[in-house]
Amino acid sequence: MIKVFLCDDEPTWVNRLSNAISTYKLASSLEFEIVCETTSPEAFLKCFNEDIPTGGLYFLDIDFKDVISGFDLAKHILEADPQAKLVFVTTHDELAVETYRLRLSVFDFVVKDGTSLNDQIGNTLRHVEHLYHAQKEGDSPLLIHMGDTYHAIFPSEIYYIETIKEAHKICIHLKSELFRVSGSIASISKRLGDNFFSCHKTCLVNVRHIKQLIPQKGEILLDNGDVCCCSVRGSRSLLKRYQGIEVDT
Amino acid sequence: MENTLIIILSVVYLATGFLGLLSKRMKKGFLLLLIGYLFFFYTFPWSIGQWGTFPLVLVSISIVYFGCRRNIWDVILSLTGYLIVTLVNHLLTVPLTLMGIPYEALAGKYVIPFLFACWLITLLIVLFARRYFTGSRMKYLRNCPKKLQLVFLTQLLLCISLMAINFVYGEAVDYPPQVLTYNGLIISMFSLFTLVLFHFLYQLLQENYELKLQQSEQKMMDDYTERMESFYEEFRVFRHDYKNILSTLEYYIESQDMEGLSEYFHRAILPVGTMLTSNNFVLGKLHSIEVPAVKSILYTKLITALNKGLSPTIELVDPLKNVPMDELKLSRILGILLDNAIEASMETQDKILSIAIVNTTRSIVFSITNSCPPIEVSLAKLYEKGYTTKEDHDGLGLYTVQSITDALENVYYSAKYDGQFRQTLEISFID
Repeated sequence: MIKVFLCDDEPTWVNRLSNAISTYKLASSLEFEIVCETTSPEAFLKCFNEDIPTGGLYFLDIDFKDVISGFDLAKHILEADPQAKLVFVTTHDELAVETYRLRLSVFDFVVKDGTSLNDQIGNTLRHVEHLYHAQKEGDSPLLIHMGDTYHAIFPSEIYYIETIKEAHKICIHLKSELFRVSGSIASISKRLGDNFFSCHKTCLVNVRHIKQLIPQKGEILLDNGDVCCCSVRGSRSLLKRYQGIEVDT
Repeated sequence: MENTLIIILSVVYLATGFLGLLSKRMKKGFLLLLIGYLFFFYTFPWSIGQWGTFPLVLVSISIVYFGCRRNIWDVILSLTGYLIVTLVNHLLTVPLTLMGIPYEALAGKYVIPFLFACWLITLLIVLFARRYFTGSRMKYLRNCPKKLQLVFLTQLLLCISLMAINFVYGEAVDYPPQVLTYNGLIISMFSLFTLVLFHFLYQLLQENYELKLQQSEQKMMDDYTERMESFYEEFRVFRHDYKNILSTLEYYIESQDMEGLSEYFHRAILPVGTMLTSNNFVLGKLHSIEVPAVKSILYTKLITALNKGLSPTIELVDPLKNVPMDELKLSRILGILLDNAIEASMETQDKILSIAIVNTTRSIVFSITNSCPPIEVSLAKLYEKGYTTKEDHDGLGLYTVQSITDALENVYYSAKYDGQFRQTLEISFID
C-alpha cells in the first residue's frame, strides 16, 4: 500500500487530483491510500508528522501563497522520509522545473491542465507501480552519480556498459538513454546481478537484452538495435553459460 | 656485461629524451616498439657511426607521431627532448675535453659514468621542463596554427641535423678538440636560442588566446547592445501607438460603434499584444549569466533559434558566476549541442527548445531539451564518428562533444530520447 498526500492551496486542484487518483485506483492492483488532502502547508505538516511513512507519494504545489514554499516543504519531507516520491503540481509559467528536479530528487511533475490531468496522473502512478513491483522482485535501483546529481536506474533497464578509452569513465547504455560517467567495469559489475556477462574486456552486457550473437564480426546485437563488441573467448563462454542465445551463422 | 650496461644506459637516456616531455601517454604497443627500436639501434652490428643519428631520430619520431594519435605537437615535444639530450651531451663533452679528457676516453674508458651523468642531468631538465608544459599551457600550444607548428618542427629538425653533421664531421677528422668545441658552442647557442624562441612563441599564443576570448566577448556585447537598442525602439513605437490606440478606442466607444471597435481590436490591438509577449524576453534572462563565453554562445544560439521561428525558453534561477571548465571548450560543446537542438526542433510541429542551467551544491548542470523527429537508430549510433542525418554535415558534432567531455574528469554527459531529446552536461567543481 502506498500512502498519498495532497497539498495545493487551490481547493479545486486538490479535488481534481484526488478524483484523478481515485479513478486510477479503480483499475489498479496496487493500493493507493489518500491519507491527507489539504490546502494549507501547516495542516499538511501536522498530518505528515503524526505518522511519517516510508516511500510516501506526495503531490505538492510549488508556490503556496504562504510562508512555506513547496521547496521548503519538499526538503522537510525528504529529511523525514528519504524514499519519498515527490510530485510537483505546477502551472506552465513556473519554469524552475529543472532546478527542482536536480536539487531535490523530484519524482515527477504534473502540469495544471484540466484536460490532460487524468492522463498525467495515470502515467505517474503507473511509474510508481512499476517501481513498487520491481523493488519487490529484488531489482533494487542502482544510483548513477554524475558529479553532484544522481539517477536511479534498475539493472534490468541496462543494456550494456562499456569502458571509455583513455579516460576513467564508462558509458552505461539503456534502451534509449546513455550516461557517460566516472567508474570502471570492475567496480560496477559487483553491483549488478547474474544477468550481466563480461563479453569483452571493455564491455559488460545484459544477457536478457541480447538479440543475436554474431561471432564472425565479434559483435552482439541487442534488442534495441545497439551493437556491442564481444571477444572470441567471450562468445564461447557466453554460449556455454547461458542457454537459448541465438547465433548468426 | 659492461656492454649490456652501456646499451641499457643509452636506451634509457634516449628514451628519457624522446618520451620525457610528452603530455600524454603513448599507446602501449608503440611505446614497446620505440624501446625495441632503440635496443635494436644500439645492438646493430654494422656500425654506421655518427650518420646513425638520422635514422635514429627519424624512426623514433615517426613512432611517436603514430603512437600519439598523429599529433605534431607531441613530435615537437619529443624532438625538444632529444635536443636536450644532445645539448647535455655537448655541454658536458666540451668542458671535459678542455680539461684534458679526450673524446675517445669519454666514449671508451669513462663511458658508463659519463652516460650516467648525462642521463641524470637530462632527467632533471626534463622533469623541470615538464612543469612548464603541463595543463593550461599545453592548451595554448595545441591551439597553435598548423603552419607555425610545421615551422617549429623544421627549426628543431634543422637544429638536430646541424648537431649530427657536426659529429659526423668530427668523426671524419678524428674529433680534434678545437673544432668540436667551437662548433659545439655555436650549435649549442643556436639550440638554446631555439628554445628561447619556443618560449616567446608560447607567450604569443597565450596572448592570442586571451585576445580571441576578448574579441568574442566584445562582439557579444556589441550584439547585445544593438538588440537592446532595437528593443527599446520597439517600446518607444509601442508607447506612441498606445496613445493613438486609446484615443481611437475612445472614439469607437463614444460613438457606440461596436462593429468598428471589434474590427479595430482584431486588426490593430491583437498584433501589438503578441509583440509584447514576443520572445525577445528570453534574452533578458542572460543578464544573470556572468561567464562571458557561456553568455555569448547562448546569446548567439538563442538569436538563431528566434530567427528560425522557435520559442526557446531558459530556466536560470541563480546567477551563473563561474564554471570549472575551460571556457572555449565549454562554449564549443554548447554550440554543437544547441545547433543540433535547433535543427532537430525546427523539423517538428512543437518546436520545443528549453535550456536549463542549474547550480547544485557542487556542480553546474546544463540541460538542453528539444523536440525532434523520431530517432530510428539506437542512441549510441548518433555518437559514432561520421554519423549524420543531414547531407551537408560531417557528422562530427556529437563525436567531438563526446571526446571533449570524456577527456575531462569533472565533466559528465548524458542523453535520453523519449519522444523528446534531452541532453545534460554536468560540470562538477574540483575540490
